[in-house]
Amino acid sequence: MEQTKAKLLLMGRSGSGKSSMRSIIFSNYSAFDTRRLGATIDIEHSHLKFLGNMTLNLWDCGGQDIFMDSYLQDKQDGSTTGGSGSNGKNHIFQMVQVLIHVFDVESDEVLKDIEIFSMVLQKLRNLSPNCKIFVLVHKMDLVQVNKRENLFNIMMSKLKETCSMYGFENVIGFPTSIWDESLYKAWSSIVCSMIPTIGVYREKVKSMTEMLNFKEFILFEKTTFLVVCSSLENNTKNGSLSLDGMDPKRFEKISNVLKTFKQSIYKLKANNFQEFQIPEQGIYIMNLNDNLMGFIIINKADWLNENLIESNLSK
Amino acid sequence: KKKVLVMGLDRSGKSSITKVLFNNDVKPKNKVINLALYKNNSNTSANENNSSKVGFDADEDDLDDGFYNNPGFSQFFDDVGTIIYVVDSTSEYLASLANLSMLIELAYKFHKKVNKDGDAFNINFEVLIHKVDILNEDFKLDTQRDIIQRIQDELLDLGIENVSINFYLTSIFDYTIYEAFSRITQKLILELPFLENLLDNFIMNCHNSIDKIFLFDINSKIYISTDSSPVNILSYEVCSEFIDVTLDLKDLYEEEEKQDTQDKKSLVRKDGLKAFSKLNNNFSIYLNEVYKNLCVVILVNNNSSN
Repeated sequence: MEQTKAKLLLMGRSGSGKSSMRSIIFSNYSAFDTRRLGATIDIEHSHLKFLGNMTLNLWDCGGQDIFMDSYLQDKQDGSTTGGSGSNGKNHIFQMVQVLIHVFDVESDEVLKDIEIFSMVLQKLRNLSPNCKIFVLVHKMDLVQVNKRENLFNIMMSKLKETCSMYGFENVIGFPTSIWDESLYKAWSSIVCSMIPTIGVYREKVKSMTEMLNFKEFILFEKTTFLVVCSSLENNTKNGSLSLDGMDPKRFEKISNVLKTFKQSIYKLKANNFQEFQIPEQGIYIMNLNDNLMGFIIINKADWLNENLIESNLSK
Repeated sequence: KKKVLVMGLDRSGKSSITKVLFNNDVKPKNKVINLALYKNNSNTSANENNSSKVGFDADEDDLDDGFYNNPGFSQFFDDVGTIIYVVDSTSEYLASLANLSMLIELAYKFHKKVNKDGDAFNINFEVLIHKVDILNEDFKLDTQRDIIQRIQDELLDLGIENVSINFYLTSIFDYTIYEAFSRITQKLILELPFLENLLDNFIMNCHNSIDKIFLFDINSKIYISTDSSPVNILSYEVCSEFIDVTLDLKDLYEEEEKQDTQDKKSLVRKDGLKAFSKLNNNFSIYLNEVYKNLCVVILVNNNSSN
């Protein structure tokens, strides 16, 4: 399989929680641990292997005004103007696949946040017009439960308007918080949008499910526990899922629970688990290969699971 | 059935403790605790009959000055097996200790009055030196030593001997509170040596492939018993978190069952909970519900196949 490289920009105002997110999803921090993180200076690059052959090039951009100005200023000049800016800076907005812009719901200066967002969009329109835009309305746990949806909708309509001004029509937004599973939902969708072979995975999952009569089959990436795809995924989008009565948030919740478990077993010096079963509920979780983990719900609890495991591995 | 009293001064964290342990509250965040603190002020001595396997009542009382003059007070010590006294280690604890020694004295006198023929004084005192998450490591031990010293001096002055007092450093933000309550609960179980023996035998029969075995109360995650090898708090934490993970995953897919019929759900319950996980360092964890809300969690070292 060919190597794929994708460049992600993680931007937003200072203190909005960019590095915290990154640490939780990709570095196994717990939400408590993120308190230790200080301010990001300039840009922190990280190269993250995902699904074996995909490398995510995550640029975590410090959000203080002085850094922000320098990102935007340097670009204004277009060409490198001797020495002052490092090479990296001048290339920030080139070849970007994905922009993830983080908004702090508690921010005092919403207008300034949006202004910066629009400046970033302007750069991207010139230099990476095919970039995908995701906005995360972050720190949602600080808003009262009944006001969250309303607030999110207001924010999104404003942001969508801003985006379409710059020619980016398909903006996807998520309400997120590091204290619950919403973070996993957002990042799963972001990362999945970049997997070129996602169709292949989807097909395989579908055919496996039909062949072996699973109730549901979810594919997870092994180190981050982000959802790659699920056999019932499409139903979710049509809203028909309410009929079969499953929790629409189950993917994120499973990610969250399994990640917690993974952190927990560090205490026994195990860096991951190979199998997990709850036979009565028909839940089986197992390693499929180096990068994937399968989460299987079978229809009948008395099904012979040994066969299942073997046939899974053969895939 | 024995009575367990949870006592302590205002705001020492009594309600937070019972909430965290027996109401299965979400992980303690600051906000949750604040709420518990406010509730503390409502001076209710409601018997919380927690459905822990041991079945003990926890009385909670703010010890006002007028409290001891209460005429109903002497009934208060009837059938008391254990008094858990919570001392807030972060604020000035002298008042708290004075209160505690007064309490011990009263209990002792009461006991003398009732049992004239002189049985041994049989109320256990368990002192929780609480909220130690705020203290640093050195200071923790200093505080503990200081408190123990003061209490013992006090008892010596009062001339009370043979009181069993145990001290625990606890915090609701980690597993110390579970550990302390496990130890306290275990003292109330008469069959404990038998259980321990049973678990030891069980391990023997498995050719020593078992690293550690715990008998858990699922709801409170207190361990009722374990084998006789020393407890490593890490393995306790892992086992307890394993229960959480299992319950969380199970709950996600149980809702469908609920929608079908209520009967079906009870059927599922009857089967008991079972889970198994294999880690990539030759360890496995097994969980098996043996009896209502009681489950064994076993850590297995996979060198021998089982």
